[in-house]
Amino acid sequence: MKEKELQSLRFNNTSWEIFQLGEKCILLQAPNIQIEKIHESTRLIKTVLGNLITDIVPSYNSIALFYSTEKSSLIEKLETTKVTAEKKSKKIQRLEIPICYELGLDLADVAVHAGIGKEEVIKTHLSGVYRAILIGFTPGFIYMDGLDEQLACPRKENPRKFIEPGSVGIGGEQTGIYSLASPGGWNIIGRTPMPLFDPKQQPPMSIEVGSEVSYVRMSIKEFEAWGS
Amino acid sequence: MGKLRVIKVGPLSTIQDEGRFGYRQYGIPQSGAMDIRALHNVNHLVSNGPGWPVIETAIQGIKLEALEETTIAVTGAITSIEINDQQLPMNTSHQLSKGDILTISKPLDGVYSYLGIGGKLKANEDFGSTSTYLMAGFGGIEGRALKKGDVLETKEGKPFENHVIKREIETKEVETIRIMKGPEWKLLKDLPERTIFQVDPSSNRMGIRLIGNPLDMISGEVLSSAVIPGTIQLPPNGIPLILMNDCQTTGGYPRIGKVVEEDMGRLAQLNPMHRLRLKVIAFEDGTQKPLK
Repeated sequence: MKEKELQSLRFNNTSWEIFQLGEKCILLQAPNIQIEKIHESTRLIKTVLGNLITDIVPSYNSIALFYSTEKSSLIEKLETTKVTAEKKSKKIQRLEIPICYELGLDLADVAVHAGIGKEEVIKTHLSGVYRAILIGFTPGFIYMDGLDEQLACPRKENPRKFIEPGSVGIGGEQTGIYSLASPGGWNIIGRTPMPLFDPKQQPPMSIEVGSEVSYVRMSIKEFEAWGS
Repeated sequence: MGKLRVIKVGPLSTIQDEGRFGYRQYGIPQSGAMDIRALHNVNHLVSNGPGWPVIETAIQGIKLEALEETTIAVTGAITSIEINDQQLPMNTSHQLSKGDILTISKPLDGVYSYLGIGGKLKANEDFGSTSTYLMAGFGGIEGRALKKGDVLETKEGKPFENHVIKREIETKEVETIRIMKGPEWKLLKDLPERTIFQVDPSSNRMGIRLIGNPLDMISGEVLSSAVIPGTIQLPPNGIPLILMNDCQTTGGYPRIGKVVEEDMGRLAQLNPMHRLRLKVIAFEDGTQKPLK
């Protein structure tokens, strides 16, 4: 439809279009934004708005804000916030995650698809640094980039009904971690015993969008001994 | 206090409350009762707090035995209720004695019925809610649907009081569901209200599928982005899909609008094949003007 009443705001040196996603939810969208800027803005918005927002859902080029107050007060607060280097200074979180490839149910399939041996898949996977891009799709699922294209492997034709928490998967050119048990169709190449999601902790997730992850290999013995 | 044992139950009876909020950033859906008004009403009838957990039944009914004196009420989709083979009205509080058998039929009109039990129902609380989310096993009893043999127990119940609420409004032959415009509204070439859709029988707690002629649209690609219950997605086939309480947190189809909160319960209760029209209205804060 032609009629268009666009509202926009400037925040973090970016011009954002404002859309109403729900009665108490707005979507800030910046069409050609870099994902790094989305992650940085998400962190800043959490700091600036604090309890004024009840939830925040970033994605590739937008951030959804859920609120219980008046929308105008949120927008005003964002627009009047001068984003200083100091505010931005929060470092990108870097995590080392132990992974047991022996629990990789589909490691062999990925190797066959790549036309290399299993050990080579592991070596290539270990050499990568992966960045959390988006959290969602299924509860606690962390989408990541940084996968070596050689390891890209199409999703499974028959998704599994149950995937163990901590499973590391490859779906097409993307990779990710199932931080909670859920159904899923990605190729599982390994599993971490490290709890990434604890509902009793605040925040419940130890990874946030923008976090960088590298993997450290562990044996099945070490996997089983974890935490004991 | 109240205690009921499940004797017979369909596969889709779950414990639900108002839902979980604040966890969409972790990919955790809202869940909660599909008909919030019916949840509030049934809790009122049994002298509970408005958002306390209740039993939501869908498509099929439930049969229970009272293990002790228990206050109950049923709201939502129209069902027939029997206590020891005696027919009793919905939307009214009833007191069961130990040994009484309560039978709630499958819905005769509407989709979701609510059984309220006096007191606070014991259930798993995950992320601030007891609402059952089957896919991830959150809330309810072990995160699953009710099954034969389950014991539903409440505590902190108030003494029996007789309440009655008025029956809810009749549905029209073609229901008008009010919507507000969504981020990709501009991809539509025509007003959605000109098309009459029908509710696809495969609709469920994740979404209401529609049957009807496709809406004329400019094809547009959308990067995966936030969606919420009520979001109306327009897939490439042009037939809107309305996301409901158990929907995912992000999606990749254009979002042409959102069903206004007040109409969500009415939409959820529409019978399979019921006819409806999506009519755009002004958003309360005036950011999007009505068309005409």
